[in-house]
Amino acid sequence: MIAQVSLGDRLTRKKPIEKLIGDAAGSDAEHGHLNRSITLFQLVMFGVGSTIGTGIFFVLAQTVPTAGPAVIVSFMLAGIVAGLTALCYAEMASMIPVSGSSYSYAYATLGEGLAFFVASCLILEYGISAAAVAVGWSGYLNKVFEIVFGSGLPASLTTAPIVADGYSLSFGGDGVINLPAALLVFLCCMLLMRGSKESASANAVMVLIKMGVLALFILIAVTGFKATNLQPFAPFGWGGISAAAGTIFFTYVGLDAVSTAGEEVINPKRNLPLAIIAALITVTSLYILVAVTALGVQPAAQFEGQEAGLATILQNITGSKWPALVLAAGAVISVFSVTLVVLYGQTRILFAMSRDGMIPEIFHRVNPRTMTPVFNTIFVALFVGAIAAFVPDAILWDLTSMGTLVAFMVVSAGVMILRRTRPDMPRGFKVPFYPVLPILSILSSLYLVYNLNPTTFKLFGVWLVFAAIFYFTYSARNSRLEKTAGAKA
Amino acid sequence: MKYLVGFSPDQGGREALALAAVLVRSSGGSIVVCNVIPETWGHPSMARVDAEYATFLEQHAKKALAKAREVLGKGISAEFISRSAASAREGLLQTASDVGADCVVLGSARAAPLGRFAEGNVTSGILHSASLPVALAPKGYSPGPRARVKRVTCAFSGAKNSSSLARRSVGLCESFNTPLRLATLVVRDKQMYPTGAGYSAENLVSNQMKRQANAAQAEVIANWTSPVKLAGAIGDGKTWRAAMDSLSWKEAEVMVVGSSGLGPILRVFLGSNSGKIVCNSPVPCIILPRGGEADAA
Repeated sequence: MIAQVSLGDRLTRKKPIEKLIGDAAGSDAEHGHLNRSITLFQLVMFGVGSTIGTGIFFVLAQTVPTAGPAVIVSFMLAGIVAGLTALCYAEMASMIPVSGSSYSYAYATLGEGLAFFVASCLILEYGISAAAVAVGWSGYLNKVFEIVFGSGLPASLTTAPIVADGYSLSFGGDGVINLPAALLVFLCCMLLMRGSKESASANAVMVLIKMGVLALFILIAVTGFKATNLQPFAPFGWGGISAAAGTIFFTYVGLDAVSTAGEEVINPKRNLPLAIIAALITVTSLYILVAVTALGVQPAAQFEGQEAGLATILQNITGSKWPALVLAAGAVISVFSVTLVVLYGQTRILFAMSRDGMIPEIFHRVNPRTMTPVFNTIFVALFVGAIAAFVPDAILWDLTSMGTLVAFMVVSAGVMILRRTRPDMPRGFKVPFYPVLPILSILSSLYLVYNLNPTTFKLFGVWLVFAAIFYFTYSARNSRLEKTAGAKA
Repeated sequence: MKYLVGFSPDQGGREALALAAVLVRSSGGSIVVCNVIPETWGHPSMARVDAEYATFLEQHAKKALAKAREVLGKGISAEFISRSAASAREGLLQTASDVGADCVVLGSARAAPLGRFAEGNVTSGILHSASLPVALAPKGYSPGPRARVKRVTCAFSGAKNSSSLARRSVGLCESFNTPLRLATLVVRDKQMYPTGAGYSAENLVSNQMKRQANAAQAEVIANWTSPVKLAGAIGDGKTWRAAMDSLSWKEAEVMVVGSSGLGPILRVFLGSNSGKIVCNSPVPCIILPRGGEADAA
């Protein structure tokens, strides 16, 4: 008989750190101790590479109608929150001598219940944001078609059947399926199944492409700048600004690619915060420049519903097609790489969860021929692909922001809890201005969450109920720790 | 066992010959050394240039075979033939069926690093069309004059039907009188940059794969009925080459590799993974044709 484990024990049991190390250690000597090899510059590139492309190409169409030209303030606000959370996350990540996702860190330090909660938020951060990015990509692909062939794909094939009027969802409209978005997800998953990866140098190329096309946009758009377009600056007041900042937070998702590098960074005490701040400044200034110039070109009212927004704006100012084509093509290439990276993250997080017994065993079955988790990847493709095909992006951005913010709140709280419960544990990086910074991080995240739309809360609530049911019916019983506890008893 | 050596008078040819000698010493049987020369035009041409060329080729083949005789030395029963054909591949495969060979032995292209194998255009053609096992000598292969095969290693992916290759290798082991080893290669995939899932996520995957391979090998070993001794080993590393090198190798060991399921039945067809094994193996490889139970060399 397996000894009865109480619910409280289940929720708070922690995965031993040695086990976490064992899971991710390679057998060769070189990987037994992770070699510190990532330089500061590379780290900044990782941060910039995984952040830009998740939203700046699309997000203005959604946020300018909410905040007006004051969306610029929203960008700054979201950037500050992202920076605070990334710093807290970096401390948590540096405590555990292997790299992993916030799910693994939470499992080792905060217990199974919170880890599962973080993981269900991470599915929003990764799975849902991959879908959102794919939908945005579809807009730019269509733009390329429009410019090159004179007409784009029919609307029924590029729009989701669910329509978001503001935030109220309903079926209708002329959309049937967002085919390009679903295809993109499947293409990426096929690459992942074959074991294709983006290398550090490919990432650098992508960063150059993204920064190049954004610079092109800024340089051209600034020629059409009219200050009158920025009036009235904040028609919807502070409420609009905060609501938009919540949505915009989505464009900073990806900054955790810096935080998780903890153990592999040369001199993490110095380089981690530097990299986070440098990446943040680069990204935020690009975002703000893009926003300011875009707002200067056309009145705020025109942003609403603009697909492939940046390319369309370029086309309108210059009256010629090539700058828009260059921008759209750059977006198509670089957003593709972002989708690949995000989908990869999702498959590996599910893999780690499955290794711990949180989700069924088939998620960590590796195909011996391709040497990749094939079922896992197909599942992610179907899940993300279906969302990308049938759900409009407006709701997806907010859901991503919601999931990410909540996960980061747990992480920030975890940093404070662990300073009390495990003060002796070595930390490669410590948050400066403790305890002010983690508290600020939690408060500011709460503020952004609070200002998100009620629909987002409803969907998030539904998702959490599903996650909780799954945890209590499956994960809590099948957790690997359950088995070891049973063996001991 | 009859081994057909595709011989050219160069280093690759000598290495193929050395491999054939090891195999014949281990299993008994004989060697047929074949040198393929281009076909000439049958009609007499003006000034008899064609005839001149044909004589030159004949001379060349004779010289080549004399060299082969010299390299092989005495004590091994061997036959030396030259054949003219439209292509080396065609000539060799024709000869193989004419003399009833059990295995074709070939050398490596010179592009290979020392101790490894690289496909040349002749081997490449044969590796995708032969209907009998093909043995490949790595570059710089130089076994001792009395070397015999000590162990046969069988590439075992751990996929559903990969145990059939182990069963088919039994014939080889019996004729060599050696034990058999299952080797699974786990190549840790490149890491994705950047990612929020951690920069050692691929270790998680490769560790899992090792666990699966262990289980798959244990299952085959538990159900093993043949008198040939069977053991298992797992090699892993960042690259195929590192994974290969992490295994221990005996001197004069051979590695058996199966054909891809994508190729035609009963033919040799190198798949992408077996191609990598062949190119990174430090020991000679024998590639078996796809399917069929009795055709193991």
